[in-house]
Amino acid sequence: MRPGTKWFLLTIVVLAVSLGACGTKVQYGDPTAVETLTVDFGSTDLQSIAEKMVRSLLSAPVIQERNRPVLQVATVKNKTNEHIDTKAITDKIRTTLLNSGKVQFTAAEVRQEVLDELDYQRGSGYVDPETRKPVGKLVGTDFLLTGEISSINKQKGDTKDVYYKITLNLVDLETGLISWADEKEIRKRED
Amino acid sequence: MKNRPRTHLTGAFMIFLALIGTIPLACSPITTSNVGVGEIWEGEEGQVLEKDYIIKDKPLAKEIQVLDIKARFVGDFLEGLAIVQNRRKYTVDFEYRFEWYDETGFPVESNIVHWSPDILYGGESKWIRAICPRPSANGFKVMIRAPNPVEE
Repeated sequence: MRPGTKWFLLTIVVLAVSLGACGTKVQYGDPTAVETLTVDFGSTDLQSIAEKMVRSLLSAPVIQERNRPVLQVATVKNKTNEHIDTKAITDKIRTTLLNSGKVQFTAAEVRQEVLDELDYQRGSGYVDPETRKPVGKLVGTDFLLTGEISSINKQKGDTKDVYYKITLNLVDLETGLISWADEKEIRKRED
Repeated sequence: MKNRPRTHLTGAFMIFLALIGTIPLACSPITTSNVGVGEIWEGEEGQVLEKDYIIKDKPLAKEIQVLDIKARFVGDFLEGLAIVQNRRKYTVDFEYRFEWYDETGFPVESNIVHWSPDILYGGESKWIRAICPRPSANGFKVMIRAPNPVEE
């Protein structure tokens, strides 16, 4: 082997090893595992809130004593100073409650699309009248699910301390009274 | 006469060894189990509930013990509760998760089953609880493990 070829091969090997070391590694993780990357609101906080609220709601007399009451998710205000997708929290609670079979939910966020579809079925002339859905049959909501999430942040040197509090309320649309309420507190610390 | 002190010394050494041997036994509490402890309980409505717990890590099983497991139906839904105690004087971090099973032993899926972080201060006992949001569950296992977080 000529000396030039030898050096060329050696360079190729060194380059291959270097590039291999720089490559990122992708792997799947457990979505149910506890996540402690930072003190910011994370997946474990979302899951803990949903678990607590579902447990409390399913045990509440207002749910236990009624025959599949109709709920509607309203706004959960984010009063913290970070971006928190509160819809992700309420979606998880809604999905779990729906699958329990104990409550029903109105699809408020797609209401306009529902109305547009009803108008289309009634007025376009394209839909078989026998399969056309009648108007005036939408189910009225019994309770609104509302709430807010707030936080207190403290920092001293490299130590951060965050306290989250989320409160949810179930408002009876007939009486305007709060029929159920609960809260979940979370404290996290980063040194 | 020369041998007597030596015999005396050997006896003292044996007693010393025996004492040394008993120290680890006295200091380490009896570990209930690091495997499941099953129990059958007859429910109010005649359902047989299986309650069980598993402490997944041997060192943690020496620090934490499960004092009791309770179950009840809240309407159609099974609620589980476990009373855990820290046997040590220092704070112990742990994670727990409730897993739910139907009467055939199949797991009941729920999108809120996840590992929950918790702490026990020295000597403290507290309850951990969960509810299965599906009406088909009639048994559960409490899984307890040392912190195993997703971190950098």
